[in-house]
Amino acid sequence: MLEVMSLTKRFGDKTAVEQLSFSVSSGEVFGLLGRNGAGKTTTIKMMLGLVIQDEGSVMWKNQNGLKGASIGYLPEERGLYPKAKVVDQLSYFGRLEGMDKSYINRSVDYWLDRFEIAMYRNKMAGDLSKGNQQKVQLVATLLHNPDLIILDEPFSGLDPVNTNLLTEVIMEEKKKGKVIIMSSHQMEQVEKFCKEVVLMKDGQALLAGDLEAIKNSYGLMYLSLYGDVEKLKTFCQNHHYAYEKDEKRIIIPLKKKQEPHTVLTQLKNEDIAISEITYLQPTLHQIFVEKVGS
Amino acid sequence: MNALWTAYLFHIREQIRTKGFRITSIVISLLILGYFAYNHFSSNEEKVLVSVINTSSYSIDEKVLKENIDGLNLTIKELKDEEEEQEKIKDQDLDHLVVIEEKDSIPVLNYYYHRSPDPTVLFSFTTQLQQQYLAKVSTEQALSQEVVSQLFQSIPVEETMLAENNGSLGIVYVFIFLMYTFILMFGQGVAMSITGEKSTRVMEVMITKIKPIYMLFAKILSSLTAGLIQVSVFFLSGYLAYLIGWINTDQFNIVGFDFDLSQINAGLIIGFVFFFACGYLVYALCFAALGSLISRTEDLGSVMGPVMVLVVGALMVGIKTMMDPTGGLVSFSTYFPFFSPIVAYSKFVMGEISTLELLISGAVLIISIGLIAYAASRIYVKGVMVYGEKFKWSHLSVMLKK
Repeated sequence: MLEVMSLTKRFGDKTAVEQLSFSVSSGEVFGLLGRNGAGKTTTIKMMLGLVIQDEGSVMWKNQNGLKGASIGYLPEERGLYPKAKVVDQLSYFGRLEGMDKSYINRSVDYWLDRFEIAMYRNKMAGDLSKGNQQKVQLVATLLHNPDLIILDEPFSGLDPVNTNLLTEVIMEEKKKGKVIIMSSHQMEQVEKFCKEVVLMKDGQALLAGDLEAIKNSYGLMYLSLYGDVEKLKTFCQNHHYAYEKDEKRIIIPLKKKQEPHTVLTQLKNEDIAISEITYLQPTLHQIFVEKVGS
Repeated sequence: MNALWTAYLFHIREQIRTKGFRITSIVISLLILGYFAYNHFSSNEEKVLVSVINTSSYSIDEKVLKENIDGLNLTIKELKDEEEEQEKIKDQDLDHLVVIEEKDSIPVLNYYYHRSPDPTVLFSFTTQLQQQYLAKVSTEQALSQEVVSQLFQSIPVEETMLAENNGSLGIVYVFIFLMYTFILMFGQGVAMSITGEKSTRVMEVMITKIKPIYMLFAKILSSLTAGLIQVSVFFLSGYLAYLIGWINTDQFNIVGFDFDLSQINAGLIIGFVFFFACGYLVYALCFAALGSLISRTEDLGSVMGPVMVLVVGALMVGIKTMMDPTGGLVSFSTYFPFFSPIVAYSKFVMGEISTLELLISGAVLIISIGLIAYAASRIYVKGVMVYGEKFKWSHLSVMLKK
């Protein structure tokens, strides 16, 4: 169990993180969300002791600090020795985590196979593509079977196939009961894993808590309407509805307490044909853009 | 400590595996062997080309000259050849031209050379002519044989060096040269490696796995080991040249400085290793601290300046020590930790330092290394986590504070 209480960090006049609190239980993935510069990485660095907080504390299993935790940390910017062989640096990381030689060999083999990069074990890390370096970095993060996994932008640089692969791995680690903290811009992925999230802006938590509860309390619902897009567009403009248009549909955010049937009645009255109607909960992406967009 | 050892082993393996390390080792070996091979083969063929034009009544005994001048190749020329011979000297086809004339029965010697006179050549010719002139005058003056013998009596000279000699200037020269190149190569290598870890962000991963202070010393000690391996290659190449027979132990010298191999003893070797390691540590700690302050390897030059000045200063004072081991600057430098490894060892080899001075110098050096290590580790621990900010020297004092 990880507990973060009132973490605060100031750099001169700028407050990078202010009074941030959250907790994560075993077998849960916690999402740290926010735009670039929102304070996510500073929060992670404070948790790891890489940046000293001005206020607040971090508790792991009711002990102050993370010293007792076995941590797997994937930094935002990848950190590998470019001129060292993949297998050598993974073994080195493993030894620093106190693993014995045979355990290291087994674990390195397993994770290189799992991420489908076994063929690169004797290559220099610097010679690999960005995506493969990212996978080596993930192996280094998970190699020693850590209790606490901190992933800062884990999907960066991965193609869709590898994104799915990493998604499976994170789900497996979740099932093993690991405490996972993930910072990401990819809201679809966050929605898949995270039970709880915090949405940060300028160092402050704008939204925090259970993701479903956040969506429900957000209030804003959407109508997705398939039909003649041009007619639908004119309809929205005539009725002063905000809308998002794509190739085949129009999405209308409903105002608070506005029932969807009022819109549907108006459409019927104006004789505008609709082929498909969907009543949508807001996506995390929409909440993110709404809350932290400029 | 286990983590320190693990990090040390990783870094030493990585350093030894690099192409740069292997190529440097091979180049060092080839240079050493090449140097001794050149000396060995060229010394047998080295000739001293001398032309003589003699218009006097005095004669030249070529056999005696050859006994005095190694490799003498004497050619007798006519007076009409004088200008031609002078041209040969200008073109370096001839080393020396000696023109002997006679004025009022006194031999007069004109000596031509390219850039540097050879005292041995000049002395050999003047001695022969002086003796003949003395013999001629004594005969003309009808001096008794007894008086003539007394006049020709050579003055006995007995040389005694009073300074205690632990070796020779050659050892000092090798030490200064190795110390200087080693600090430049491996000290800067430490700084580059640390900055590289920051720029590639490995540092962020490592710092969650190992204490920064262990990383600092693992890097410094692995570079020291790599450097000592290359110093061993240096000496082994020399030993190989000795085994092949390219080194004449009686006349062994390093670029003109005598290197008396028979003088090498345990004290000299222990002193070499001690001062070498201490000298390296002083500079490597500074380089490591400075390397941790910047985030990009291209910024290294901007912070290395002051330490580089000290490195060059150490070299200059080292050369000064060879010429004047008791001078004021040298005496001060014996206790100045940035210069003392070179100066104190050089004075020790030359027998110009007392045991007490040597112990004080060593103690000051060890205490200084402790203080520099303390300061460097404080700067390093904080510096490695600072990214993006432009380095200012004022940051140093902030980092040194708690």
